[in-house]
Amino acid sequence: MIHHTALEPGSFRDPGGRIFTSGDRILRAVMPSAAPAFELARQSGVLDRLVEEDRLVGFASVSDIEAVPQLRDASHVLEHPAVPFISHPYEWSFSLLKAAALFHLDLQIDLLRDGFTLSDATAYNVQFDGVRPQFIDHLSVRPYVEGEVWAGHRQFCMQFLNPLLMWDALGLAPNHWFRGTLEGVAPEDLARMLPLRKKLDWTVLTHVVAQAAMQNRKVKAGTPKAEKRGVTLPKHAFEGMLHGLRRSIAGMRNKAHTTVWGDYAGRNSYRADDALMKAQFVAEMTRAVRPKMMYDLGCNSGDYSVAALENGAGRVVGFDFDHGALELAYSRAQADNLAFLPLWLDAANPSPSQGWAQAERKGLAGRAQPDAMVALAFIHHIAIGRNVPLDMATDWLVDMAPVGIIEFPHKEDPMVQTLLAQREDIFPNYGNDQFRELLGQRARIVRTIDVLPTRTLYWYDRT
Amino acid sequence: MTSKTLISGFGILAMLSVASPAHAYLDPATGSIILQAVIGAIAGATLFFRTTLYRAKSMVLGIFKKSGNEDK
Repeated sequence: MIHHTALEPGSFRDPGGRIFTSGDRILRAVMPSAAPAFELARQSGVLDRLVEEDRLVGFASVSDIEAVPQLRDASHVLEHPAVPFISHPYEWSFSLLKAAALFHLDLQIDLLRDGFTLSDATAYNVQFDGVRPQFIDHLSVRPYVEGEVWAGHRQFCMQFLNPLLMWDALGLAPNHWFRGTLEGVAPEDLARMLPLRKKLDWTVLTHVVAQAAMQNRKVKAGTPKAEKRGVTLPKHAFEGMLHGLRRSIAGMRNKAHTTVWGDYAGRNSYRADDALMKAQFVAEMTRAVRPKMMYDLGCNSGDYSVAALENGAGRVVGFDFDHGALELAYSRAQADNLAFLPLWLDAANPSPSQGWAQAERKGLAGRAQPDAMVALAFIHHIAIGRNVPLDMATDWLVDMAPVGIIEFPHKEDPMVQTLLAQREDIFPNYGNDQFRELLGQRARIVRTIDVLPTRTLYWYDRT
Repeated sequence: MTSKTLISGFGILAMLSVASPAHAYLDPATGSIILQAVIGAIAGATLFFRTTLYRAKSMVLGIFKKSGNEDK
Protein backbone atom coordinates (compact mmCIF):
# COMPACT_ATOMS: atom_id res chain seq x y z
CA MET A 1 0.00 0.00 0.00
CA ILE A 2 1.40 3.35 -1.03
CA HIS A 3 1.05 6.13 1.52
CA HIS A 4 0.94 9.82 0.79
CA THR A 5 4.37 10.63 -0.58
CA ALA A 6 5.95 13.90 0.50
CA LEU A 7 9.17 15.59 -0.56
CA GLU A 8 11.63 15.93 2.29
CA PRO A 9 11.99 19.74 2.48
CA GLY A 10 15.74 19.58 3.20
CA SER A 11 16.49 17.69 0.00
CA PHE A 12 16.57 20.01 -2.97
CA ARG A 13 20.13 21.23 -3.51
CA ASP A 14 21.16 18.40 -5.78
CA PRO A 15 18.83 18.26 -8.79
CA GLY A 16 20.08 14.71 -9.41
CA GLY A 17 18.16 13.27 -6.50
CA ARG A 18 15.36 13.87 -4.07
CA ILE A 19 14.35 12.29 -0.80
CA PHE A 20 10.70 11.44 -0.24
CA THR A 21 8.92 10.08 2.77
CA SER A 22 6.02 7.71 2.31
CA GLY A 23 4.53 6.62 5.59
CA ASP A 24 7.53 5.28 7.50
CA ARG A 25 9.50 4.67 4.33
CA ILE A 26 12.43 6.80 3.19
CA LEU A 27 12.69 6.85 -0.61
CA ARG A 28 15.29 8.43 -2.85
CA ALA A 29 14.56 9.29 -6.46
CA VAL A 30 17.67 9.10 -8.64
CA MET A 31 16.97 11.44 -11.56
CA PRO A 32 18.33 10.74 -15.08
CA SER A 33 21.07 13.39 -14.66
CA ALA A 34 22.57 11.51 -11.70
CA ALA A 35 21.82 7.99 -12.91
CA PRO A 36 25.07 7.26 -14.84
CA ALA A 37 27.33 8.23 -11.91
CA PHE A 38 25.17 6.26 -9.48
CA GLU A 39 25.17 3.19 -11.73
CA LEU A 40 28.97 3.29 -12.03
CA ALA A 41 29.35 3.59 -8.27
CA ARG A 42 26.92 0.75 -7.64
CA GLN A 43 28.42 -1.56 -10.27
CA SER A 44 31.92 -1.00 -8.94
CA GLY A 45 30.78 -2.41 -5.61
CA VAL A 46 32.05 0.61 -3.73
CA LEU A 47 28.60 1.54 -2.36
CA ASP A 48 27.92 -2.01 -1.15
CA ARG A 49 31.30 -2.14 0.52
CA LEU A 50 30.66 1.13 2.35
CA VAL A 51 27.29 -0.18 3.54
CA GLU A 52 28.96 -3.39 4.73
CA GLU A 53 31.50 -1.33 6.64
CA ASP A 54 28.62 0.61 8.25
CA ARG A 55 29.91 3.86 6.80
CA LEU A 56 27.00 4.40 4.43
CA VAL A 57 23.30 4.06 5.17
CA GLY A 58 21.89 0.96 3.49
CA PHE A 59 19.91 1.07 0.24
CA ALA A 60 17.74 -1.23 -1.82
CA SER A 61 16.14 -0.74 -5.23
CA VAL A 62 12.39 -0.35 -5.12
CA SER A 63 10.01 -1.22 -7.93
CA ASP A 64 6.56 -0.96 -6.34
CA ILE A 65 6.18 2.80 -6.63
CA GLU A 66 5.29 3.41 -10.31
CA ALA A 67 1.96 4.79 -9.12
CA VAL A 68 3.60 7.70 -7.30
CA PRO A 69 3.65 10.72 -9.63
CA GLN A 70 6.69 12.38 -8.01
CA LEU A 71 8.79 9.29 -8.62
CA ARG A 72 7.70 8.56 -12.19
CA ASP A 73 10.57 10.48 -13.83
CA ALA A 74 13.21 8.83 -11.69
CA SER A 75 15.73 6.43 -13.26
CA HIS A 76 15.99 4.54 -9.98
CA VAL A 77 14.12 4.62 -6.72
CA LEU A 78 16.00 3.57 -3.62
CA GLU A 79 14.70 2.82 -0.18
CA HIS A 80 16.78 3.52 2.92
CA PRO A 81 16.42 2.56 6.56
CA ALA A 82 15.46 5.65 8.55
CA VAL A 83 18.32 7.45 10.31
CA PRO A 84 17.52 7.16 14.04
CA PHE A 85 17.74 10.89 14.71
CA ILE A 86 18.70 13.65 12.29
CA SER A 87 21.02 16.09 14.05
CA HIS A 88 22.44 19.29 12.62
CA PRO A 89 26.13 20.21 12.81
CA TYR A 90 25.32 23.24 14.97
CA GLU A 91 23.99 20.83 17.59
CA TRP A 92 27.24 18.87 17.73
CA SER A 93 29.86 19.07 20.41
CA PHE A 94 33.51 19.52 19.52
CA SER A 95 34.11 15.76 19.57
CA LEU A 96 31.13 15.00 17.35
CA LEU A 97 32.25 17.60 14.81
CA LYS A 98 35.81 16.30 14.91
CA ALA A 99 34.61 12.71 14.46
CA ALA A 100 32.45 13.79 11.51
CA ALA A 101 35.36 15.71 9.92
CA LEU A 102 37.79 12.77 10.18
CA PHE A 103 35.09 10.43 8.94
CA HIS A 104 34.46 12.64 5.91
CA LEU A 105 38.18 12.88 5.07
CA ASP A 106 38.70 9.12 5.43
CA LEU A 107 35.71 8.50 3.19
CA GLN A 108 37.09 10.87 0.56
CA ILE A 109 40.57 9.34 0.81
CA ASP A 110 39.26 5.77 0.44
CA LEU A 111 36.92 6.67 -2.41
CA LEU A 112 39.78 8.32 -4.29
CA ARG A 113 41.74 5.09 -4.06
CA ASP A 114 38.83 3.33 -5.79
CA GLY A 115 38.51 5.97 -8.50
CA PHE A 116 35.59 7.81 -6.93
CA THR A 117 35.17 11.14 -5.18
CA LEU A 118 32.57 13.12 -3.25
CA SER A 119 30.79 15.89 -5.12
CA ASP A 120 30.52 18.07 -2.03
CA ALA A 121 31.56 18.23 1.62
CA THR A 122 28.45 19.22 3.49
CA ALA A 123 28.43 18.28 7.16
CA TYR A 124 24.67 17.69 6.97
CA ASN A 125 25.42 14.49 5.01
CA VAL A 126 27.06 13.00 8.09
CA GLN A 127 24.66 11.65 10.71
CA PHE A 128 25.24 9.72 13.91
CA ASP A 129 24.17 6.27 15.06
CA GLY A 130 25.01 6.58 18.73
CA VAL A 131 28.15 8.65 18.28
CA ARG A 132 29.35 6.66 15.25
CA PRO A 133 29.27 8.75 12.05
CA GLN A 134 27.48 7.51 8.95
CA PHE A 135 27.19 8.98 5.47
CA ILE A 136 23.65 9.44 4.16
CA ASP A 137 23.97 10.82 0.62
CA HIS A 138 24.55 8.05 -1.92
CA LEU A 139 24.48 10.46 -4.84
CA SER A 140 27.46 12.44 -3.54
CA VAL A 141 29.64 9.51 -4.62
CA ARG A 142 30.68 9.91 -8.25
CA PRO A 143 33.56 8.83 -10.50
CA TYR A 144 36.79 10.78 -10.04
CA VAL A 145 38.24 12.49 -13.10
CA GLU A 146 42.05 12.67 -13.06
CA GLY A 147 43.22 16.21 -12.42
CA GLU A 148 39.92 17.65 -11.19
CA VAL A 149 40.04 20.03 -8.24
CA TRP A 150 38.47 19.13 -4.90
CA ALA A 151 34.97 20.43 -5.47
CA GLY A 152 34.07 20.34 -1.79
CA HIS A 153 37.19 22.09 -0.50
CA ARG A 154 35.63 25.43 0.45
CA GLN A 155 32.62 23.68 1.93
CA PHE A 156 34.86 21.37 3.94
CA CYS A 157 36.68 24.39 5.31
CA MET A 158 33.46 26.21 6.19
CA GLN A 159 31.59 23.31 7.75
CA PHE A 160 34.36 21.26 9.34
CA LEU A 161 37.80 22.85 9.49
CA ASN A 162 36.88 26.42 10.47
CA PRO A 163 34.39 25.58 13.24
CA LEU A 164 36.96 23.13 14.65
CA LEU A 165 39.61 25.87 14.47
CA MET A 166 37.30 28.16 16.45
CA TRP A 167 37.37 25.55 19.21
CA ASP A 168 41.03 24.71 18.90
CA ALA A 169 42.63 28.09 18.24
CA LEU A 170 40.18 30.48 19.90
CA GLY A 171 38.44 28.37 22.53
CA LEU A 172 35.08 29.46 21.10
CA ALA A 173 32.07 27.22 20.57
CA PRO A 174 31.02 27.76 16.93
CA ASN A 175 27.45 26.51 17.45
CA HIS A 176 25.74 29.92 17.56
CA TRP A 177 27.58 31.11 14.47
CA PHE A 178 26.99 27.87 12.56
CA ARG A 179 23.32 27.93 13.47
CA GLY A 180 23.09 31.50 12.19
CA THR A 181 24.73 30.94 8.81
CA LEU A 182 23.78 27.25 8.36
CA GLU A 183 26.72 27.02 5.94
CA GLY A 184 29.45 27.20 8.56
CA VAL A 185 32.22 29.73 9.08
CA ALA A 186 33.73 31.44 6.01
CA PRO A 187 37.55 31.61 5.79
CA GLU A 188 37.23 35.39 5.24
CA ASP A 189 35.47 35.75 8.58
CA LEU A 190 37.70 33.37 10.53
CA ALA A 191 40.85 35.04 9.16
CA ARG A 192 39.75 38.31 10.76
CA MET A 193 39.32 36.68 14.15
CA LEU A 194 42.57 34.74 14.39
CA PRO A 195 45.58 36.32 16.11
CA LEU A 196 48.84 36.46 14.12
CA ARG A 197 50.39 33.67 16.21
CA LYS A 198 47.66 31.23 15.14
CA LYS A 199 47.93 32.30 11.51
CA LEU A 200 51.47 30.95 11.29
CA ASP A 201 50.27 27.36 11.50
CA TRP A 202 50.56 25.80 8.02
CA THR A 203 46.95 24.55 7.85
CA VAL A 204 45.60 27.90 9.03
CA LEU A 205 47.94 29.88 6.81
CA THR A 206 46.94 28.01 3.67
CA HIS A 207 43.32 26.89 4.11
CA VAL A 208 42.14 29.94 6.05
CA VAL A 209 44.38 32.97 5.55
CA ALA A 210 45.48 32.39 1.95
CA GLN A 211 42.07 31.18 0.86
CA ALA A 212 40.45 34.24 2.44
CA ALA A 213 42.95 36.57 0.76
CA MET A 214 42.40 34.98 -2.65
CA GLN A 215 38.65 35.02 -2.20
CA ASN A 216 38.70 38.69 -1.14
CA ARG A 217 40.99 39.64 -4.02
CA LYS A 218 38.68 37.97 -6.50
CA VAL A 219 35.65 39.74 -5.04
CA LYS A 220 37.44 43.08 -5.41
CA ALA A 221 38.66 42.28 -8.92
CA GLY A 222 35.09 41.82 -10.11
CA THR A 223 34.05 39.44 -12.85
CA PRO A 224 35.81 36.15 -12.30
CA LYS A 225 37.58 34.28 -15.02
CA ALA A 226 36.69 30.70 -15.58
CA GLU A 227 39.57 29.50 -13.41
CA LYS A 228 37.77 26.31 -12.62
CA ARG A 229 38.36 24.94 -16.08
CA GLY A 230 42.02 25.91 -16.20
CA VAL A 231 43.14 24.58 -12.82
CA THR A 232 44.15 20.97 -12.43
CA LEU A 233 44.98 19.18 -9.22
CA PRO A 234 46.91 15.94 -9.73
CA LYS A 235 45.65 13.00 -7.70
CA HIS A 236 48.74 12.83 -5.47
CA ALA A 237 48.33 16.53 -4.68
CA PHE A 238 44.65 15.98 -3.84
CA GLU A 239 45.63 13.11 -1.56
CA GLY A 240 48.33 15.26 -0.03
CA MET A 241 45.79 17.93 0.88
CA LEU A 242 43.42 15.38 2.38
CA HIS A 243 46.13 13.71 4.45
CA GLY A 244 47.47 17.09 5.58
CA LEU A 245 44.04 18.18 6.78
CA ARG A 246 43.48 14.84 8.44
CA ARG A 247 46.73 15.09 10.39
CA SER A 248 45.95 18.63 11.43
CA ILE A 249 42.37 17.91 12.55
CA ALA A 250 43.36 14.70 14.36
CA GLY A 251 45.61 16.84 16.56
CA MET A 252 42.93 19.37 17.49
CA ARG A 253 41.76 19.62 21.08
CA ASN A 254 38.85 21.25 22.86
CA LYS A 255 40.89 23.15 25.39
CA ALA A 256 38.13 25.74 25.62
CA HIS A 257 36.19 26.83 28.62
CA THR A 258 35.90 25.67 32.19
CA THR A 259 33.14 23.13 32.65
CA VAL A 260 29.99 24.27 34.38
CA TRP A 261 28.48 20.84 34.78
CA GLY A 262 31.43 18.60 34.12
CA ASP A 263 32.11 17.75 37.74
CA TYR A 264 28.50 18.23 38.76
CA ALA A 265 28.10 14.69 39.98
CA GLY A 266 30.87 15.34 42.48
CA ARG A 267 29.70 18.64 43.95
CA ASN A 268 25.91 18.74 43.71
CA SER A 269 23.68 18.51 46.69
CA TYR A 270 23.05 14.77 46.32
CA ARG A 271 24.50 11.96 48.21
CA ALA A 272 25.32 8.97 46.04
CA ASP A 273 22.23 7.02 47.15
CA ASP A 274 19.97 9.83 45.87
CA ALA A 275 21.52 9.47 42.44
CA LEU A 276 20.96 5.75 42.79
CA MET A 277 17.26 6.29 43.63
CA LYS A 278 16.89 8.45 40.54
CA ALA A 279 18.58 5.83 38.37
CA GLN A 280 16.29 3.14 39.78
CA PHE A 281 13.21 5.24 39.12
CA VAL A 282 14.33 5.85 35.52
CA ALA A 283 15.06 2.12 35.16
CA GLU A 284 11.58 1.25 36.41
CA MET A 285 9.91 3.62 33.97
CA THR A 286 11.94 2.40 30.98
CA ARG A 287 11.27 -1.24 31.89
CA ALA A 288 7.55 -0.46 31.89
CA VAL A 289 7.48 1.70 28.75
CA ARG A 290 10.27 0.08 26.69
CA PRO A 291 10.78 3.28 24.66
CA LYS A 292 12.34 2.79 21.24
CA MET A 293 13.62 6.34 21.53
CA MET A 294 14.01 8.42 24.65
CA TYR A 295 15.07 12.04 25.18
CA ASP A 296 17.23 12.98 28.15
CA LEU A 297 16.93 16.73 28.72
CA GLY A 298 19.87 18.04 30.67
CA CYS A 299 21.69 14.75 30.17
CA ASN A 300 24.98 15.95 31.73
CA SER A 301 27.50 13.09 31.36
CA GLY A 302 24.69 10.60 30.64
CA ASP A 303 24.20 8.73 33.95
CA TYR A 304 20.44 8.37 33.53
CA SER A 305 20.64 7.79 29.78
CA VAL A 306 22.82 4.80 30.59
CA ALA A 307 20.34 3.64 33.26
CA ALA A 308 17.58 3.83 30.63
CA LEU A 309 19.62 2.00 27.98
CA GLU A 310 20.42 -0.79 30.44
CA ASN A 311 16.72 -1.20 31.21
CA GLY A 312 14.98 -1.46 27.87
CA ALA A 313 15.35 1.91 26.14
CA GLY A 314 16.38 1.32 22.52
CA ARG A 315 18.09 4.62 21.96
CA VAL A 316 18.63 7.86 23.85
CA VAL A 317 19.20 11.33 22.46
CA GLY A 318 20.58 13.52 25.22
CA PHE A 319 20.64 17.31 25.32
CA ASP A 320 22.74 19.65 27.39
CA PHE A 321 23.94 23.22 27.07
CA ASP A 322 27.29 22.63 28.70
CA HIS A 323 30.03 21.58 26.31
CA GLY A 324 32.14 20.11 29.11
CA ALA A 325 29.32 17.75 30.06
CA LEU A 326 28.80 16.87 26.39
CA GLU A 327 32.46 15.93 26.03
CA LEU A 328 32.15 13.54 29.00
CA ALA A 329 28.94 12.10 27.55
CA TYR A 330 30.59 11.66 24.14
CA SER A 331 33.62 9.85 25.52
CA ARG A 332 31.33 7.58 27.52
CA ALA A 333 29.08 6.79 24.53
CA GLN A 334 32.10 6.17 22.34
CA ALA A 335 34.00 4.01 24.83
CA ASP A 336 30.99 1.79 25.60
CA ASN A 337 29.52 1.92 22.07
CA LEU A 338 26.18 3.15 23.42
CA ALA A 339 23.06 4.01 21.40
CA PHE A 340 23.34 7.42 23.02
CA LEU A 341 23.79 10.69 21.12
CA PRO A 342 24.52 13.72 23.33
CA LEU A 343 23.71 17.01 21.57
CA TRP A 344 24.05 20.68 22.40
CA LEU A 345 20.80 22.46 23.20
CA ASP A 346 19.77 25.67 24.89
CA ALA A 347 16.32 24.67 26.12
CA ALA A 348 15.17 28.28 26.30
CA ASN A 349 16.14 28.73 22.65
CA PRO A 350 16.01 25.31 20.96
CA SER A 351 16.99 24.76 17.31
CA PRO A 352 14.34 26.42 15.13
CA SER A 353 13.04 25.26 11.76
CA GLN A 354 15.16 27.26 9.37
CA GLY A 355 16.91 27.43 6.03
CA TRP A 356 15.04 27.64 2.75
CA ALA A 357 11.30 28.22 3.29
CA GLN A 358 12.04 27.76 7.01
CA ALA A 359 11.72 24.03 6.43
CA GLU A 360 15.15 22.94 5.21
CA ARG A 361 16.57 22.19 8.67
CA LYS A 362 13.91 20.98 11.06
CA GLY A 363 13.74 22.48 14.52
CA LEU A 364 13.77 20.34 17.63
CA ALA A 365 9.98 20.14 17.91
CA GLY A 366 8.61 17.44 15.64
CA ARG A 367 11.96 16.15 14.38
CA ALA A 368 11.44 12.83 16.11
CA GLN A 369 8.75 11.19 18.18
CA PRO A 370 10.39 10.01 21.37
CA ASP A 371 8.34 7.43 23.26
CA ALA A 372 9.58 8.70 26.59
CA MET A 373 11.68 11.45 28.12
CA VAL A 374 13.46 12.25 31.34
CA ALA A 375 14.23 15.77 32.57
CA LEU A 376 16.17 15.47 35.81
CA ALA A 377 17.44 18.54 37.65
CA PHE A 378 16.35 20.53 34.65
CA ILE A 379 13.07 22.44 35.05
CA HIS A 380 14.40 25.00 37.56
CA HIS A 381 16.96 26.11 34.98
CA ILE A 382 14.24 27.25 32.58
CA ALA A 383 11.58 28.19 35.16
CA ILE A 384 13.88 30.26 37.37
CA GLY A 385 17.10 30.62 35.39
CA ARG A 386 15.27 31.80 32.27
CA ASN A 387 12.01 33.17 33.73
CA VAL A 388 9.76 30.74 31.84
CA PRO A 389 6.47 30.56 33.81
CA LEU A 390 6.06 27.16 35.45
CA ASP A 391 2.90 26.28 33.50
CA MET A 392 4.65 27.01 30.20
CA ALA A 393 7.73 25.04 31.22
CA THR A 394 5.47 22.12 32.21
CA ASP A 395 3.62 22.31 28.88
CA TRP A 396 6.87 22.23 26.95
CA LEU A 397 8.21 19.23 28.84
CA VAL A 398 5.00 17.17 28.78
CA ASP A 399 4.60 17.87 25.04
CA MET A 400 8.03 16.36 24.43
CA ALA A 401 6.93 12.73 24.94
CA PRO A 402 3.79 10.84 26.01
CA VAL A 403 5.52 9.37 29.06
CA GLY A 404 8.32 10.71 31.15
CA ILE A 405 9.97 11.59 34.42
CA ILE A 406 10.37 15.17 35.55
CA GLU A 407 12.37 16.01 38.62
CA PHE A 408 11.05 18.98 40.53
CA PRO A 409 13.51 20.75 42.84
CA HIS A 410 11.44 22.62 45.45
CA LYS A 411 11.88 26.31 46.16
CA GLU A 412 13.90 25.42 49.28
CA ASP A 413 16.34 23.21 47.35
CA PRO A 414 19.95 24.45 47.56
CA MET A 415 20.25 24.46 43.75
CA VAL A 416 17.15 26.62 43.40
CA GLN A 417 18.36 28.87 46.22
CA THR A 418 21.67 29.28 44.37
CA LEU A 419 19.76 30.46 41.29
CA LEU A 420 17.79 32.88 43.46
CA ALA A 421 20.75 34.12 45.46
CA GLN A 422 21.67 36.95 43.11
CA ARG A 423 18.18 38.09 42.21
CA GLU A 424 14.77 39.04 43.45
CA ASP A 425 12.37 36.12 43.96
CA ILE A 426 9.70 36.92 41.40
CA PHE A 427 8.45 33.33 41.31
CA PRO A 428 5.55 33.01 43.79
CA ASN A 429 4.07 30.30 41.57
CA TYR A 430 7.16 28.11 41.64
CA GLY A 431 6.51 25.37 44.17
CA ASN A 432 6.08 21.64 44.49
CA ASP A 433 2.31 21.84 45.14
CA GLN A 434 1.80 24.10 42.14
CA PHE A 435 3.85 21.78 39.95
CA ARG A 436 1.93 18.70 41.08
CA GLU A 437 -1.32 20.47 40.18
CA LEU A 438 -0.05 21.70 36.79
CA LEU A 439 1.27 18.28 35.86
CA GLY A 440 -1.95 16.59 37.05
CA GLN A 441 -3.96 18.83 34.69
CA ARG A 442 -1.86 17.67 31.74
CA ALA A 443 -1.22 14.02 32.44
CA ARG A 444 -1.80 11.18 34.82
CA ILE A 445 0.77 11.08 37.58
CA VAL A 446 1.79 7.44 37.70
CA ARG A 447 4.10 7.64 40.69
CA THR A 448 6.20 10.11 42.60
CA ILE A 449 9.27 9.64 44.72
CA ASP A 450 11.11 12.05 47.02
CA VAL A 451 14.80 11.58 46.45
CA LEU A 452 15.56 14.32 48.99
CA PRO A 453 13.30 16.38 51.25
CA THR A 454 13.53 19.13 48.62
CA ARG A 455 13.41 17.08 45.45
CA THR A 456 10.53 15.10 43.96
CA LEU A 457 10.50 12.94 40.87
CA TYR A 458 7.25 12.70 38.92
CA TRP A 459 6.47 9.90 36.51
CA TYR A 460 3.73 11.15 34.20
CA ASP A 461 1.74 9.46 31.46
CA ARG A 462 -0.54 11.37 29.09
CA THR A 463 -1.44 8.44 26.80
CA MET B 1 13.21 69.94 -0.56
CA THR B 2 14.29 69.24 -4.14
CA SER B 3 17.92 69.95 -3.30
CA LYS B 4 17.78 67.54 -0.37
CA THR B 5 16.44 64.78 -2.62
CA LEU B 6 19.12 65.62 -5.16
CA ILE B 7 21.87 65.38 -2.54
CA SER B 8 20.54 62.04 -1.26
CA GLY B 9 20.32 60.77 -4.80
CA PHE B 10 23.93 61.73 -5.52
CA GLY B 11 24.96 60.16 -2.20
CA ILE B 12 23.32 56.86 -3.04
CA LEU B 13 24.82 56.86 -6.54
CA ALA B 14 28.25 57.59 -5.11
CA MET B 15 27.92 54.75 -2.62
CA LEU B 16 26.78 52.33 -5.30
CA SER B 17 29.76 53.21 -7.47
CA VAL B 18 32.27 52.28 -4.76
CA ALA B 19 30.40 49.27 -3.40
CA SER B 20 32.05 45.94 -4.07
CA PRO B 21 30.54 43.86 -6.84
CA ALA B 22 27.75 41.51 -5.86
CA HIS B 23 28.89 38.11 -4.65
CA ALA B 24 26.12 36.53 -6.65
CA TYR B 25 28.13 36.95 -9.84
CA LEU B 26 31.15 35.25 -8.40
CA ASP B 27 31.90 31.60 -8.33
CA PRO B 28 31.78 31.25 -4.57
CA ALA B 29 34.70 28.84 -4.51
CA THR B 30 37.13 30.92 -6.58
CA GLY B 31 39.51 31.41 -3.64
CA SER B 32 39.46 27.68 -2.91
CA ILE B 33 40.27 26.75 -6.50
CA ILE B 34 43.22 29.14 -6.83
CA LEU B 35 44.47 27.93 -3.47
CA GLN B 36 44.34 24.31 -4.58
CA ALA B 37 46.42 25.16 -7.63
CA VAL B 38 49.02 26.81 -5.39
CA ILE B 39 49.25 24.46 -2.39
CA GLY B 40 48.30 21.23 -4.15
CA ALA B 41 51.85 20.68 -5.34
CA ILE B 42 53.28 21.33 -1.88
CA ALA B 43 50.74 19.03 -0.24
CA GLY B 44 51.48 16.31 -2.77
CA ALA B 45 55.23 16.62 -2.22
CA THR B 46 54.74 16.53 1.57
CA LEU B 47 52.70 13.36 1.34
CA PHE B 48 55.28 11.77 -0.99
CA PHE B 49 58.06 12.71 1.42
CA ARG B 50 56.14 11.35 4.43
CA THR B 51 55.24 8.11 2.66
CA THR B 52 58.83 7.61 1.51
CA LEU B 53 60.14 8.37 4.98
CA TYR B 54 57.63 5.92 6.47
CA ARG B 55 58.62 3.21 3.98
CA ALA B 56 62.31 3.82 4.63
CA LYS B 57 61.70 3.66 8.38
CA SER B 58 59.78 0.42 8.20
CA MET B 59 62.40 -1.03 5.84
CA VAL B 60 65.20 -0.19 8.25
CA LEU B 61 63.17 -1.45 11.19
CA GLY B 62 62.37 -4.59 9.18
CA ILE B 63 66.08 -5.24 8.56
CA PHE B 64 66.82 -4.80 12.27
CA LYS B 65 63.99 -7.13 13.21
CA LYS B 66 65.20 -9.73 10.73
CA SER B 67 68.78 -9.52 11.93
CA GLY B 68 67.49 -9.71 15.50
CA ASN B 69 65.65 -12.91 14.61
CA GLU B 70 68.73 -14.36 12.93
CA ASP B 71 70.75 -13.73 16.08
CA LYS B 72 68.35 -15.94 17.95
